[in-house]
Amino acid sequence: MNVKHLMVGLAAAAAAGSAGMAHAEVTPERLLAAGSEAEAGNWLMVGKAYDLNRFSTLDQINTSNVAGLRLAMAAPIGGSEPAGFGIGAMQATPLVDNGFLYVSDPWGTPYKFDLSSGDAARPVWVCDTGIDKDPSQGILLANRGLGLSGTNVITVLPDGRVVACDADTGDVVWDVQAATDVGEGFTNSPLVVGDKIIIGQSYGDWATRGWIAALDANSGEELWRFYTIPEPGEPGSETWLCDQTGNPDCWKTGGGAAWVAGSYDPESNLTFWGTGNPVPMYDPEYRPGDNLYTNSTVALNVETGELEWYFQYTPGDYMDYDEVGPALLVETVIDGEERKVMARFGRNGIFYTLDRATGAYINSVAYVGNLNWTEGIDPKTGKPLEYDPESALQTYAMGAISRAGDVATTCPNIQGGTNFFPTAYNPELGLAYAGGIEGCSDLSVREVDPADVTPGNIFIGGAGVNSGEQTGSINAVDVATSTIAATLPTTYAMYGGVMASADLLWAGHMDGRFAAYNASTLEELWSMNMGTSFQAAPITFLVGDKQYVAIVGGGLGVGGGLAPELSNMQAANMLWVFALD
Amino acid sequence: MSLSYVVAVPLAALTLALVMLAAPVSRAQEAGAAAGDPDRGRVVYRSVGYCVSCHGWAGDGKAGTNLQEPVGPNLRETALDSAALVEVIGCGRPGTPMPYHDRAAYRDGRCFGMALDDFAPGSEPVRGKTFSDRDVANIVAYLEAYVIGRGEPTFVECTEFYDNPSAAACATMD
Repeated sequence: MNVKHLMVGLAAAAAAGSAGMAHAEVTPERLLAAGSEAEAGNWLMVGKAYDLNRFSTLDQINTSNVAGLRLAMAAPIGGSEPAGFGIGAMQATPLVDNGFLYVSDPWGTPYKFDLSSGDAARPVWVCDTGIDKDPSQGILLANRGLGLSGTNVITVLPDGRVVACDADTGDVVWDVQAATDVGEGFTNSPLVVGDKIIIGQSYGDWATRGWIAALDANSGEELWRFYTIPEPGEPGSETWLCDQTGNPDCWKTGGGAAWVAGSYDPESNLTFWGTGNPVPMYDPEYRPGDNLYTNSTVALNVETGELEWYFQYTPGDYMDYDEVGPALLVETVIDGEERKVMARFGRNGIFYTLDRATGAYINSVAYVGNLNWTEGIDPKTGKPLEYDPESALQTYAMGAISRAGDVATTCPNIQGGTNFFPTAYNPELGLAYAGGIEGCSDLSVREVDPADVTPGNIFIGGAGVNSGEQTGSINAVDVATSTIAATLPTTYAMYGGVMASADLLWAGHMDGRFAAYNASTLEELWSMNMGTSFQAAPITFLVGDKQYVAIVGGGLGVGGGLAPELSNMQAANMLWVFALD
Repeated sequence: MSLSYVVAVPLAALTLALVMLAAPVSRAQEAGAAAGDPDRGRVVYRSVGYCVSCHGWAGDGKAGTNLQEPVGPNLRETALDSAALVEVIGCGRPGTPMPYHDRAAYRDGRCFGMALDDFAPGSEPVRGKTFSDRDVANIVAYLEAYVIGRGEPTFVECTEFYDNPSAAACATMD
């Protein structure tokens, strides 16, 4: 046998190994169809489809049999080397294409596993990005998933690079330094749309300026960039009253990071990204004004990067209520009218529905048990009732905090509510789901001299400390009526994502428990404690014709601060895959 | 060397302070009297404890702190003497986020004569990493040799701290 025939034979054997399915390119058309029946066995992007619904129609595993679920495969993952904020938690949603699973560790390193045997997760490659794991870097390590683009696997890195790895070999195809300013980098996942890769600068609290950009998917070349904080003279810059502070450059370190990838509506060609808090988070006297476009959803034209509309949830924030959490794209009937809406769980404890085309406010409902920072939402504007557009410094319902020494306790906790946590929507039930935190935080200000503010160093301007006990909850919200359909209190704060499949809801807990719930009632139907902290979202897919569920677990990371009693849990990054017998 | 010290009082816990003042001299303080190794102390400060999270690499509560806790006091400007440093590191500062690191803190009376049960639920001192008596002395030696009274931190100090001439944490320093 000559070499050529040998290679053909090996390729045929490999194809047979993956249950006879071809290892097809992930084309723009396949990504557009990621939520369709044709791709039901795959999980091609972190949100399952561009609507970020994280909903799978697979129903082999359902309420009638999930009690029989067992661990089918497991594999260790690397990346547990610490940076200055310690070991990063595993927050990535894995991707699956035809029996091969792709996942990233907290340093953004991509891994490929072959699950086609159904009884072992066999490592295929680890893409070496050359990341420098210097432990002195004072950064929070996280990576929330990969992107599939043609024959490439795309990762975004904490050092500001975007790297394309060959999906077959794991070799680096291209490598660009997309973020070039000191302190900039990525903790999220890329959003692949057509021939573009959309990325969001993630390290706002490190005294940087947030932005969202599109790269050419074939070369990594930057095509457009939208700054989440306008520069003087641009629309929105009037909401940064830096001149009043003696530091006219306060907007340059104003944060508004886009640290969770957005959703995408092919019909309007708009992508919907959330933005983070104004920086410093606890000292509005450093950056008076509403601080657009922080704590907002921005709808950007994918072709040009132009801002179509924005909605700011908490103007002039001093509670650290970033609004980066996923924007669910939902079609529903509200007051008898078919509406295309953007629905999301706010970190500020409120669930919002907005008109997808205009950003106009439709409705809202508080989903946390204890919410004290506002008396409610104005039904016309969607703004908090206390909001005063004439005021340079907002005072919300629990009182202001100030350099003069005023302190306040805000509920929910500064981390939410929900946070970056992946949420889900079951279109058959009309329910949106999220896990979150139930608790409060004590806020105080610590003035920092602008001369001491250095991009790359954390800059928070005060403190937000757990106030009393922190627990958690999972909520199901009826999007059509903006009502809470079910609530499940949890012992520990929920710090990860959820996934909806058929009549089930899935969630991992910080204490290592992975569980399946009745999607209508949130009654627990199955759980197993794996011993790794869960801060990621699960997925479900087919290998051959059999349904599996997978999730990654690891260390506690920053979420561990909400559950000191779990502090002895060690960090071991793992992939877990479950199936019925 | 004298074994009698003034017990340092956590300012945030005035009620507690009255109890502390009446407490006997602690053994943790005695152990700390031995001369420490400042270079080993730097390693403990950097890699064994979580000191950097609150006090920063330079001890000034700036660069290197993280989101988890309020920033700690500026150790470069501290007025604490050796004995007080030993006590604060060993016993923590009840009522504040400063954790205790002595292996027997609040077990055998060495910390203000108190046990964890003496504190109201929710107000117990915070538990930190466990340091040997020698390492407590080493950290004190480190602070006294390289941190306290040293003024503004420098690039060279930063690279020495991280034992890496190209440490990322130092890249933004002048």
